[in-house]
Amino acid sequence: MAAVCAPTEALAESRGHFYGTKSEYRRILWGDMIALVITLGFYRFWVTTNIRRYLWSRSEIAGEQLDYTGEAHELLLGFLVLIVVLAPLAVIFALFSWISAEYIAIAQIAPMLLLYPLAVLGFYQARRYRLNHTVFRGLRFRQTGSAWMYFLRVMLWTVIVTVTLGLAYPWARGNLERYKMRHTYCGDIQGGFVGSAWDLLKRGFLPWLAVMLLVLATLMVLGSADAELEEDPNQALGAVALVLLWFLIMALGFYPVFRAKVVRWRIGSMRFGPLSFATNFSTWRFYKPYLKFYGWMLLLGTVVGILNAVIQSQIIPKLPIGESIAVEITGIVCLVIAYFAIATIISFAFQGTVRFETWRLIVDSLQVRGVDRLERAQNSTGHAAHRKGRIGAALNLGGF
Amino acid sequence: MAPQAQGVALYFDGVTGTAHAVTVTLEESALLVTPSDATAPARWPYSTIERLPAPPGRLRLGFAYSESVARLEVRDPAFAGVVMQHLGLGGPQGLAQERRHRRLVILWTAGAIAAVLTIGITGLPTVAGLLAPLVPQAMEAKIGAAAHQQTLAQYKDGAPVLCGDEGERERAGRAAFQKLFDQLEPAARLPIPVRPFVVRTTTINASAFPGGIMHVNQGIILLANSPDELAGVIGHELGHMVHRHSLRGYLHNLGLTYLITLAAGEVFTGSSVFIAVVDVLANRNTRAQERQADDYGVDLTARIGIDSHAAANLWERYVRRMREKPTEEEKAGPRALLSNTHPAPLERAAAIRATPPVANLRPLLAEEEWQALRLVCSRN
Repeated sequence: MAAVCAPTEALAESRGHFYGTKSEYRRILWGDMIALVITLGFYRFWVTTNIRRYLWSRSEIAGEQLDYTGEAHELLLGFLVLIVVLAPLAVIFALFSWISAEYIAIAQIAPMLLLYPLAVLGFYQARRYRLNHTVFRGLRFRQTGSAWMYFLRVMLWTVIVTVTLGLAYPWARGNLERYKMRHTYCGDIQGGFVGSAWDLLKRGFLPWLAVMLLVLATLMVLGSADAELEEDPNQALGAVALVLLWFLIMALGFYPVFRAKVVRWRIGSMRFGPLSFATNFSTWRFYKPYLKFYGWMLLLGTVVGILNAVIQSQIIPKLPIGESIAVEITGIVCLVIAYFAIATIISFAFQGTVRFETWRLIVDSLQVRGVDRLERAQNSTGHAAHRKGRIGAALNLGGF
Repeated sequence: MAPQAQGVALYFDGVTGTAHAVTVTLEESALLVTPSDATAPARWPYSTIERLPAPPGRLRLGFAYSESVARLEVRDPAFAGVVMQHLGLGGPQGLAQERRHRRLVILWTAGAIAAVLTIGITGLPTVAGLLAPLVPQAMEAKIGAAAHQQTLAQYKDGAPVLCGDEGERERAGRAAFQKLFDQLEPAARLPIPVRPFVVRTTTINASAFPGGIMHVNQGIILLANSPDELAGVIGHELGHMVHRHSLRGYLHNLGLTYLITLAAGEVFTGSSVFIAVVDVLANRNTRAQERQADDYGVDLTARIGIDSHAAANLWERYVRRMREKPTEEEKAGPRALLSNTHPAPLERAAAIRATPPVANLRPLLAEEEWQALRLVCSRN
């Protein structure tokens, strides 16, 4: 007879709770931020690990927190392996571009074409690493399945979704989620995914229609102005820039809504045996962190723009360029540090707003049914392969 | 035993997902975990215990250096304090360890950056020099042919790019050029024949490609005031060929790009800031190559008995010309020293003048031949 203690008693229905605070999280980020800039980004593996440790440990589901057991040096090792694998390819592409002028195009396009499969494979492997290093109630999660099979599915669905202008997305997403969840285990309990594509389509149809109409309207406006634009190439260029900016604003504006709908649908369709989940956060509360992030980015853009203008007009003309090597080396060092400082600020602004707040919102609004069934779950034996996926994990793809 | 040495906790044995209510007893060298159900007690030696991250007010323990995922959680703050004291664990200590860890990573990274730069500055040119002889001639010729075509494509605007083939005057100019060239090439004793081309562009330049292809631009022919000055230029380019600078430069550049972008983790998407670093290091190498080629040019011209200081006149004239008629790029402002692929022209001229002059001079071309050579790109 298992005597069940207070926090898990009669937990047929229970909730999630997030114990983290913004101030604690910020303290972790600040310390890491400086290290990240000084090490020219090399500290990122430790940052990732620190952030995950914090978010996992502060997330309580039905009275029990999650544990993240990954180690930064494993990610570093994965990164080094990745370099060893990819390095010969980089040399081959360079050789192509020397030997013949015709091959230059290949040498330039091939890496781009390679990045996509690499990103998809890396995503699946990174998910494997995260799950294999997540523990709940003394039970290990793990992911099986093949990254290549997942990649083939993604390729196929990408074509279909593109051809149908996104209408097939719910089916694509459902199929991919089913693949991922069926290959996900909590202890010996296999995961599952029961989401209905029609359901997601119903939830997302109106936003989809709105986007399509806006795109169509933009193209029509552009089409009617075509004749005028053809005469003045400068104006045409301006118009293209304006349209691209407009599309960017639309994408940024709609993305949080889209993601909120997909996340609610995904969580509601996840299963671990009899265990089911639901979440009912409001789209607006999901949207707010994105607005904050966009605001920070606007501020950063303005500050960097002003600083750049001041440096270009006031400081650089006064420097003895072409006279002192020391001044120039200092300049290069400043440039490199500025690059990493800006990249770090962008990344941490995202972590502090979107990552933290959406995570908190999801955990706090989580409803869980049937957690008591985990009492009977067991860790599968022979689970030594949990280091798998660290190469993909080194790419640091996928947030959750 | 003191009363605090015992308390309640929540326990997961790492085998099943069952939550056990347990009594924890602090023994001499281990924690004794006694479940209130029929499950067997467990003993956790202090030396194997690790504190895990948990919400404030909770003490969560697991095993360090172990595959076990057993967990013990104390939620009573008073007892948690006692256990921590017993284990020698404390908040500030953990933080200090984290800081030490961070400092270590920073130090190692600083070392790695220094190593990468050292390899980039001294190691790679050496490696490129060692690898260059291993590249087959056929492959070098192919690389050179591709670069030759690419360079010509830059000047293409409908007109033929090479001079010396359009009309009598061009052919006469070409013949004179060849006569001058043929007096220089044998002195270089290259293992492969050199194919010189006169390129129809006013850009003041000449270049040596892998596989024995040489470009001499119309611009530099018109800048030269004597056959000896032009011979100085050709001697310099032959120096590049003798030292296989072009191929070594390719190898060096490849190595640098490889080293810097890979070390930075940007495998295919080299960002401009790394390209800037690569350029600075690559330029450092080409400046050294140019000095070497200058030395060779002086040596070669002295050996065949012509004015080995003539190239210095050319560089000084080049500087005067640029002051009178600066290019668009020069009008924009001074160039950074680190961005120069060549040493400063006056510095080069001074280095050439510092060498001993040649006593008995002989003419390379007759005056009419020299005048004909200057018209090699005149198109009739």
